[in-house]
Amino acid sequence: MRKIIFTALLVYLFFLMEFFLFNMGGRWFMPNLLLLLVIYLNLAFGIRYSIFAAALAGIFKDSFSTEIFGFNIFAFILCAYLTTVLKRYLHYVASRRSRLLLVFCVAAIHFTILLCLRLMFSRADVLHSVQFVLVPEILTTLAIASFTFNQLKKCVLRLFA
Amino acid sequence: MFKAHRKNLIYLLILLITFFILFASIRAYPVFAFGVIKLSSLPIRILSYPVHEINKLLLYHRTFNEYKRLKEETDVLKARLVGLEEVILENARLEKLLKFKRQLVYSSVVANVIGRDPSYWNSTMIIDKGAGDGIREGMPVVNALGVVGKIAEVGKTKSKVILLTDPQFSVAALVQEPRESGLVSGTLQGFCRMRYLRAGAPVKVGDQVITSKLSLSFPEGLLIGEIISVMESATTPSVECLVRPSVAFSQIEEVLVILN
Repeated sequence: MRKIIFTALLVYLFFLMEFFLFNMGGRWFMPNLLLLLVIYLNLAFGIRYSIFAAALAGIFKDSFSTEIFGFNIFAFILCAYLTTVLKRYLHYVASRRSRLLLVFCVAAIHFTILLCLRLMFSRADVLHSVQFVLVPEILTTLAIASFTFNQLKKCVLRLFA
Repeated sequence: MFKAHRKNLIYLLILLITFFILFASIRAYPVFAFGVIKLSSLPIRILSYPVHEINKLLLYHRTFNEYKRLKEETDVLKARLVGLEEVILENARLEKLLKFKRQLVYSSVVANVIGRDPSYWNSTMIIDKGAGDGIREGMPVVNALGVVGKIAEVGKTKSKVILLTDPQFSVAALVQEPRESGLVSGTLQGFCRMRYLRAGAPVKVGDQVITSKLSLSFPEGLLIGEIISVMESATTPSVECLVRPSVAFSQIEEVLVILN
């Protein structure tokens, strides 16, 4: 139960942090903090908490978006599931490079899912999406991934060790 | 067999349920979404407040220069207004004579911005006025500088505004000087794109783009932005322009929703 409350609070906090960073850095510094959290929870606590966080993160994102309700819920949950699959092949404990590779792959998958959903339900320019969504999002997310994971690790060790 | 794969089947089921949510247009979604917004609006406002204040301090010099420029402009306009008052009265007399009724003043509602959706895909903002204040879907949202967007979803006390720069937004527009009409829509770059201008249209960088009377939701003559590049090729039957919005979306704190 403690872990569930902790997960829910973290999702809310990370969602607010995304707002704060957006206000500070504008549209060129918007790392996908919620996706980082979903990946971290998957690595630290397993898929169950990761899916719970993904669903909550998706609900928050979808509530503020004008797109069809469920886009982000589906994308985050699929990413949480695929993280479990990918970590078997890509992730080595205590290897920072492998963790970054995992983040890169999951962020790219997250982008692809959202792009496919947009192509299915509304409209999207693939080239522009790659240029103005994929590249800045992956770069900013990778830039703060290690720092975020370290802070989360400290937090988890303090609370659950 | 079922026991061995039980966990995977449950995860698959969760995925399928979330996928089917996309196809179900349940009426409870907006109510639920606005409930979540209500829950988050206060912390978002608290977080945004210091950032806005810091921005104001950092932009002090620019604001002061802008103030000086605007003051000079106001003085010039005041001088012009004296002459124009007579023209307005004459215009009113002539309009009356022609029985031509034009509504120049729109009723509107002032709304505060709660926050902007931090997403690369969309440009959306949440305002603190909803159906209770007379706001309906599709109503135009403007500020002193020009078009901001239009109402996308309405809750009881809050609404979502789809911004001019959102790829899903479009509005009929006119290049002010050569009176060439086209369609302005948002892009992922944070600019707007004006399409369907006729081939050979004499548009140039620096021309101002305004809303056209062909627009169903916007009153005509509202400033959209300024052309920053013109893309014309011999192979395409129309001209495309990139338009920089006149509104600085990151600095908006209040907007006006036009009710009629």
